[in-house]
Amino acid sequence: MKTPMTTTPGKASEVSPPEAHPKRQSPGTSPRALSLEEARARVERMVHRYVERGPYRLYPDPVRVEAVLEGLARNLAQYGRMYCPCVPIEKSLEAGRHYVCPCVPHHEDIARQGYCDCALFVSEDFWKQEEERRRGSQDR
Amino acid sequence: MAAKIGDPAPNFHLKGVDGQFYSLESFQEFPILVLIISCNHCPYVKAYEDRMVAIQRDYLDRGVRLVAINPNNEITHPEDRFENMVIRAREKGFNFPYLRDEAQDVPKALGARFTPEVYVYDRDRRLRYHGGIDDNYADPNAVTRHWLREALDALLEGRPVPQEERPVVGCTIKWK
Repeated sequence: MKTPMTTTPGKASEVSPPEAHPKRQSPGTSPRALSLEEARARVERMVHRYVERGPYRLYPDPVRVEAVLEGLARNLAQYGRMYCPCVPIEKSLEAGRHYVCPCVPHHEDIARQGYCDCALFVSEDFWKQEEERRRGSQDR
Repeated sequence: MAAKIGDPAPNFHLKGVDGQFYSLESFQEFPILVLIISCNHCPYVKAYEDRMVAIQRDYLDRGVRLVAINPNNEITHPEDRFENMVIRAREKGFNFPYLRDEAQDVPKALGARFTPEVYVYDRDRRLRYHGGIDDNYADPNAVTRHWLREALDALLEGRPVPQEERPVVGCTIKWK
């Protein structure tokens, strides 16, 4: 199922991660550094395909989704891989593929709490609950 | 169940990084109480720490008290252990209480899901604002809407909060 992607607001061309860290190239990555725009396009493509494949949906808050996509794009542009923006980058860099989106623990996280660690991907049940909650609050 | 605008603040009895215990009553002298579900490890929180210090500095004399509460699972996230909170508070010059909620009772009572997630209470300790701090976690110079400051200004001036609920951007709370 296709889910609309939001566009990046603000300064799309700048990369300013929360913590400065020396750039390291991980194995299997492109030797040419990506611009933030290119990185964003790749992230959206990956996420879009992953959701289409199923069984997960995107978190039903476009602002949240946008923030995670932006974080993934920044990490791809700066570090060469779509590292989870919710994990300290030092931890990601030491863990190899573990925190590259979709991260290794995300199936377990979604099974346990309905959403992955970043709350980017959610289970169908969680999505339905959130939609009902959202409709309920709009009706008040 | 997520806290709704108008809901009362949950009570708590939590240890701060200064070794003292704090409850809702500890802050009764402050007309405005801001609870921020926070932690040590989250990159989004780290991006906001300086801004939290600045907000407390700017609003303390106007009767606003920020209180940060870290509920994260320290087994899965050892960076969020109490001793590391003490270090972080000292290194960043936290000018507000930073409390440890190991039982995770406060976020459960609020229905909180992320860090940082902000709850602003009025003098009667009724929820008046819930959401994020501003609209740009990555670049403080690119912020266009200072949501928390706007809410505080409105409450202090006796005006309605412009928008009582704003989106929250941050890491998920690490539940036990």
